[in-house]
Amino acid sequence: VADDSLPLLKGTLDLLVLKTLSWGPMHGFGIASWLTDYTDGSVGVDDSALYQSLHRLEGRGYVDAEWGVSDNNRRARYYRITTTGRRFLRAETETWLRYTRSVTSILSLQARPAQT
Amino acid sequence: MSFRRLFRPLPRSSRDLDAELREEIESHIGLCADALERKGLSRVAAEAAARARFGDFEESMRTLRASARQRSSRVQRRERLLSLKQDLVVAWRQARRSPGFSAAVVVTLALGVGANGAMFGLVDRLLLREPPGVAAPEQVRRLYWTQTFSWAGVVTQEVSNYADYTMLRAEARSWSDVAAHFSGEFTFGRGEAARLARGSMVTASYWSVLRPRPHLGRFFTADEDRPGNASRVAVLSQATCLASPSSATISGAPPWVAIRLRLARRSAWPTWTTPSSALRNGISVASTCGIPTCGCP
Repeated sequence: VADDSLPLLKGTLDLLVLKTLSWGPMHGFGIASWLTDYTDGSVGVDDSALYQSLHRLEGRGYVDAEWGVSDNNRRARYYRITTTGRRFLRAETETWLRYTRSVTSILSLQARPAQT
Repeated sequence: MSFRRLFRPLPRSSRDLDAELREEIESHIGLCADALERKGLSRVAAEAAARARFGDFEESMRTLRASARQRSSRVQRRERLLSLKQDLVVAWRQARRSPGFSAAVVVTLALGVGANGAMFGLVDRLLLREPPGVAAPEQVRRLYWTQTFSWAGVVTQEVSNYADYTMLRAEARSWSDVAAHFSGEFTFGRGEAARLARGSMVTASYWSVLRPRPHLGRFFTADEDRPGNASRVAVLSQATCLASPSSATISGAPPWVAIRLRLARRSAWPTWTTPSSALRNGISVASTCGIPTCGCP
């Protein structure tokens, strides 16, 4: 985890993990690497928190897991998003985007708008 | 049972969960070390860096173990629900395939469950549940007499007489008090309105032995149950009071208490009422009233 990485807001890790898995099955290290690489290390993913998130999602039925073999011939547990998980991701993404759009529109204001 | 369920893996024990978790984290650290090694670190340095990046291994294990257990129980619960759903779907299909047979099964089951429920209710009420209205039912005992007759052998019965009751009360030292009751039928009302009702003659000690609480007024005392000088009093069950029409009023009592009993050619003022259950406790039938034993007409 890079020292200058942004701390994750509560609840966003589950969404990021589901989004990463929406591209295909991955093991825990693969998910952490993908998130770090894609954000150039600006999003800090704690390994322990990542596995807690994966197990939580598995318990809720949003992901399935099975043991497989990695590219470098190492046994690893691969996670795959389920149909319920995809539905959840779609709904939560919509909520998140609406929320961030609203927050961004307020925070990016330069002057107080005229009252109607 | 479906084949799919037969081959479903058994629920994992906490030791299995632990081993799987440890293997997963070790695998994560191994993969991380592989990646760092590819970037030019030595194997030893890569492994050390991977472990450092993961943080406190044992602390993480503890946290993950707790969440893994929760996950495992959630998964098992979901499995059970899915299994139930599957069973219901199969049952519904079977029922639609042969409706006559299904109806017969449902009716048989309903009758069986209903009969069992009714029998249990009866047994519960008669044998298991404590009688209502009695203050300390575990301390109350019913006495039986065992006598040997030359013509009938050993006979056990609970029927006795007033002389036996007075003898028991005077002589026995193993119990705190003795009460007696005799059940019979009484005529309530006059003329066409008259009806038969079960009632009991009880000794004054009946109230102190069973210790029910009167809804209204008080119970009769030993003075009112003295041989040769019994008072014309009666204790009415609440149900009797509520069901009886008023024919006179008693000062200070609600109108529904104001009824006058005619027992044979005697009149009794029922100024006391008690829960219906209290008159049922020691008595085998539901009684409408209790009058002093010595006041027996």
